[in-house]
Amino acid sequence: MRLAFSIMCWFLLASAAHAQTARGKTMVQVSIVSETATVSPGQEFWVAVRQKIDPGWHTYWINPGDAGEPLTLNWTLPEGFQAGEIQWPLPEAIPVSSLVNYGYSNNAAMLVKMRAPDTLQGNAVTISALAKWLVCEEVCIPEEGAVSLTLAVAQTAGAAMGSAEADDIQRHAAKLPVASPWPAVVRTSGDKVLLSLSANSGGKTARFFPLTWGQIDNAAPQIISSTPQALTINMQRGELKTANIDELRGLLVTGTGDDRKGYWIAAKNDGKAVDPLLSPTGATGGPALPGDGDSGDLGLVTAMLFAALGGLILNLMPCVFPVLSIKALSLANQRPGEGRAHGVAFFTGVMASFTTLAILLIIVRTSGGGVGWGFQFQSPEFVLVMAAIFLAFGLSLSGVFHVGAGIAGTGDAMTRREGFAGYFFTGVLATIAATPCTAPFMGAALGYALTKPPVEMTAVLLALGAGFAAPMTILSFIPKLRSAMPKPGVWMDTLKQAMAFPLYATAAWLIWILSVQRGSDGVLAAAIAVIGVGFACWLWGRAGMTFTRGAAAAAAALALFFAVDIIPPAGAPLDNVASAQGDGPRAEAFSPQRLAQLQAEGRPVFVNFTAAWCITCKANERLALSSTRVREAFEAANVAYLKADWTNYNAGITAALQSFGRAGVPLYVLYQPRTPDGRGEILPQILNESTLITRVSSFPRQQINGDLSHVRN
Amino acid sequence: MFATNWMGKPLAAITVAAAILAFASPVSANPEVGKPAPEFSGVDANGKTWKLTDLRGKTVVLEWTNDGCPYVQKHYNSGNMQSLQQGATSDGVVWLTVASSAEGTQGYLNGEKANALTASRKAAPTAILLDATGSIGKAYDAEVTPHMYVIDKTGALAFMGGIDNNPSADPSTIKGAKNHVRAALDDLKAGKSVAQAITRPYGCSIKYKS
Repeated sequence: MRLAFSIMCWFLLASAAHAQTARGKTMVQVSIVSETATVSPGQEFWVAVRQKIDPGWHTYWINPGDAGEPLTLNWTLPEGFQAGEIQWPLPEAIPVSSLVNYGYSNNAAMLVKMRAPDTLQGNAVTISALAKWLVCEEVCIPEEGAVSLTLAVAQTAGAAMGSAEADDIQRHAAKLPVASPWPAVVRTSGDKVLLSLSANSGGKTARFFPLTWGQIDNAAPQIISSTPQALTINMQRGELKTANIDELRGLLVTGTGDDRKGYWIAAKNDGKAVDPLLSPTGATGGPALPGDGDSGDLGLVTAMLFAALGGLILNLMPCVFPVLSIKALSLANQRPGEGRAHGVAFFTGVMASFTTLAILLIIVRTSGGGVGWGFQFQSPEFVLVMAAIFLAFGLSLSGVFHVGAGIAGTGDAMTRREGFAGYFFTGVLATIAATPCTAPFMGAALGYALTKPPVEMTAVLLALGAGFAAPMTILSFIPKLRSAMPKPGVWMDTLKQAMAFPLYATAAWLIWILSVQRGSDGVLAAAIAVIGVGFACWLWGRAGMTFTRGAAAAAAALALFFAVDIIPPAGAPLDNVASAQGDGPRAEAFSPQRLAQLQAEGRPVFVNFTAAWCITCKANERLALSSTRVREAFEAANVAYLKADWTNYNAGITAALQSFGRAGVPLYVLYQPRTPDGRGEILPQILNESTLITRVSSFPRQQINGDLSHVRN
Repeated sequence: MFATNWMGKPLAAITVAAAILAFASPVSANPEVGKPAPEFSGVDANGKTWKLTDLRGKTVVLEWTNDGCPYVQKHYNSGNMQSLQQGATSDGVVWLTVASSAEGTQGYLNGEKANALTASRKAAPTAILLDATGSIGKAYDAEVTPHMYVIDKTGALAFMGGIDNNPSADPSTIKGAKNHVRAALDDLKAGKSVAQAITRPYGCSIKYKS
């Protein structure tokens, strides 16, 4: 009846094995249990050190992430016993303000393999350990506790115990990470680290937990691309930015909830350069975009069609229309051959600009920079120069000065002189002016383009260019259409002068962007540029002599360089978020951590990706997001409103946009309540009040949890 | 019309240059070793304003602190931090202890509390900067207490990271640990570049204003 005795002892002892600490109540209660009730010579068996963690508190994985410290066990073992390393269960990523730690909440079981000596004798053995750990909520407390366990000695290994404890240990053991069966490679490019597995684990959800400090930025979002052939994880480099990553070790966790699986990865760097947005496996068909159906995989042809359509619509945008409409009218009284040549010149100019844009994008992307549509407007220098150019155009239309041909189409010689180069540069200029005006269809198409291999990206951009250039080009090729246009006359001069005002408005808008980017110093810079360029235009208009014109050009250049020089560097964050919200819902600044936190709280979240230079964004904010009704609907459903302001470059927001397959703003994402880690629903790019209210009102009403302190961190 | 010659001249060149500039310069403000350290201006416990630009020609140490954090306590209760501060300041180093805990969180300091803390823990910094808004901490990407930074005499960041190589809250681990800050200061004093310029920071996360 020795067995019965052992079982009885075991139950008694196991219940007594809870740790006692000097301090009394600790945030973590530790205990130890064994897989078996008895131990025999040479036997290997699991013991589990369990942590029962108070709600809201955390303990740490072997790599604690940005802060924290893992559990240590200092064993006191009977003679001849050996304890293995701690086998860490799968960690969670725990956001704490702007950091991310790796660890555990609620319950964790750290398994350790014990081996009894072959010479084991006696009736019973006691296994004890001093456990030390750090537990953090807002604050951190180092705690310790002694655990111990006594097992009866049996000379022959007993049958496996069917106890609840044994089952529990075996369940935990079955969930321990295994070595990854997939060949893995790591590559770096700029501040990006790309880990790719040449076969897919099947899951769309995955997270990589680095084993050592410094290689990976723990808090940066990880962008997963998943195809049947490959899983790639695009991450940011950690603190050791300049050190080579020869090998990346860590844990890949796939799936969610109880279906999580862990795989130990040891990926070598093969030294090849990589375009971080491309599939490094060279798999055909390109990687599928992460994200859901809406932005999903458009397919090349659809993307090109959308791009062409978007290009067409761009012609009507206020920054482009004045330039092109005047140009179009000037075509009206040209001879057929001449008109056609000019059409070709214009088309060539537009296409050359878009080709240049594609090449620049490829270069920036290969060097690891995050880019998106309209991103050049994130540079205040560029915005300033554009403001000056629009002002000069406006002044030209207002008649302050004339360049070359004077009033459109007067005099054959002048027209000829304007010729090919003139129309070519009109194309170039129109392209530059068009960049901020993201037309409705272009967000998805460009998002598709910017995440694709160079050839496909160039194809989409050129389709956009073709659509953009189409109206002018077609006009120039069809004499009938041209002759149907109104005959030139005095009215044209009036129209031309009137058209100056949209251009002044564009300049004013650009200066406002500068004020958002760089505050009052940015406005001062703009004022200097505007006065200098205005003076130069006037000087040019007054004078017929070459030297005065030279002086005018010099004055303009000087004013611009001086103005660009006094633009202050990006520094103190300006309070962009607070601007112009009217009666709408109150926004707080977006960060991936804040989003995760709000989702963990079970709240629905609305994210507005916007920028000061994005007209569509501003229109949406004015029309749909500043209304009292929307605010009330948001409040009723307890929707958190996060604003991701992309006016200035921001790596976190760029990465978040990319994770939705987008490369530019606007983007509106609504996350359902109570779906931690759930993917958001992408709302239409042209927002309206009723869409927002309908979606939000469909959410289940929820109680606002009175005490959120246990989920805040 | 305006397009032709006008575009062919200097403005065209400027436009193109600006476009290229715009593509090439998505800047991030993260501190980088070897680059100019992020500028800051902070008020100390006695109301004095400290600006990094005013400290050119001096080696500057920034130490993030939170007296409730066990890792900070490890270094103060053992006297380790104080001896490091004394050694540095006697060499002419400006040692600025920064408290970035928001009001109402652990480690928040106002002037009075900061002075009392310095007295009670016999600390010897040049000054304690009160950074409850977190602006200095965010500029330096300071993550934990104690997070340490060393800025050389030219104003370039020379070191950032953990104070030593033993990331534990247990005071018995100080002995035998390699003190990275002392090594960095010694390297700078000897006119060398810092051998280990980036080390793993460890400690409690900074309780920034959210």
